[in-house]
Amino acid sequence: MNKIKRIMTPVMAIVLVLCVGYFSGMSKTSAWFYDSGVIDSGDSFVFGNLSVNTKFVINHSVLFEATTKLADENEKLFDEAVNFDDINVANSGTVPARVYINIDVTNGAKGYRWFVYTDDMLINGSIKETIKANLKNLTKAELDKYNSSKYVLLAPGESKVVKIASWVEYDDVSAELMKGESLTIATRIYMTATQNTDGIIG
Amino acid sequence: MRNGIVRPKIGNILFNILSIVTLIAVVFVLFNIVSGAKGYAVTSESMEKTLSRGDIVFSKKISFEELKVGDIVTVGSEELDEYFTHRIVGIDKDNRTIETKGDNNPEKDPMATPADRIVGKMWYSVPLLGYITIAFGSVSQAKGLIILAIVAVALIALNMILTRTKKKKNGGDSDE
Repeated sequence: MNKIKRIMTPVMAIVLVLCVGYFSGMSKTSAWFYDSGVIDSGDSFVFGNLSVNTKFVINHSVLFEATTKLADENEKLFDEAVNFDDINVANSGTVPARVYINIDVTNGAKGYRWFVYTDDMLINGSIKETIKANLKNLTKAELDKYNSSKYVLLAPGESKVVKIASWVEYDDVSAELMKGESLTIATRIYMTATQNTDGIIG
Repeated sequence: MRNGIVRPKIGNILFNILSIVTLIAVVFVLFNIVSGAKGYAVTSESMEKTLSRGDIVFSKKISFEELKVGDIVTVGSEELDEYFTHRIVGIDKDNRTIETKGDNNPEKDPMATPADRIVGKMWYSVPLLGYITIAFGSVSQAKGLIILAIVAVALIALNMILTRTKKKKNGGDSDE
């Protein structure tokens, strides 16, 4: 009897693990409709029929003439060194939607930072003050956390201007800007529109 | 003396639990494979109170003509591995599309679904099992396989240790 147990126990363990594997490999089902695209500066991102399978890729380059440092309290010209991109987003669909933005620096340029906002968030017309008011710490990690969770809410038929402030931190800057030359950084701006709610929670 | 009596009993209980759980799991998995049902783990609240996050929905293929308003269907793309499971609230037989809505959503879904995107009609659902899928979904497939392999090896090792301990206690071969 014990011999049977000795043989059967590992066999059953493996079979059970295979069963767990069967469940873990299942597809997920949700209802988070979205429409995503990558756009060029100044373009409009118009979405209507949110679906589950739309993707685009367009590259965008940003020219920087100077560097700056967000965390430097003595840096008074931060707003002057920042590059601004405006993107019109419009919801032509029939359900309220969120628009998320993500930027991928395709050449891996060090020091590149960005901050997404709308005009109604601006404090005293200063982007630095606005950033400071929205972040716990002025670090890249905090910026990334903010940017990944920030979304703009659009009612059906509504349109808004989403703004992206970007700059290059002088501590991480590449050799070109140290020599006083301008620097062009290739980026991809991804925009994703999703349903505002997937089920009424709370 | 007391320990000598208790330990084999615990071993027997564990063995019996493992046997029952394995048997149920195997029968359940085989039942779904043989019946042609495909499982999907529910990850959102859009179908509360009919379906909750963590449920597994088993859907079976069905022809467009057999569908009726009120059916719960799984819709999506096998290529993209993206699915949703909602209730049919309208059928356009001329254009061969359906309108869907989550029971817990305020509006209909934003797009009509063509017949070729309907994966199946919900057959039945099982609560909580989907959390296995959700938990493994947060790690890569490679990591998931490694975790499963470690669990299997750990179970086998535990079995070997328990067997050796028992042998030592009995002072030799314990085979009956």
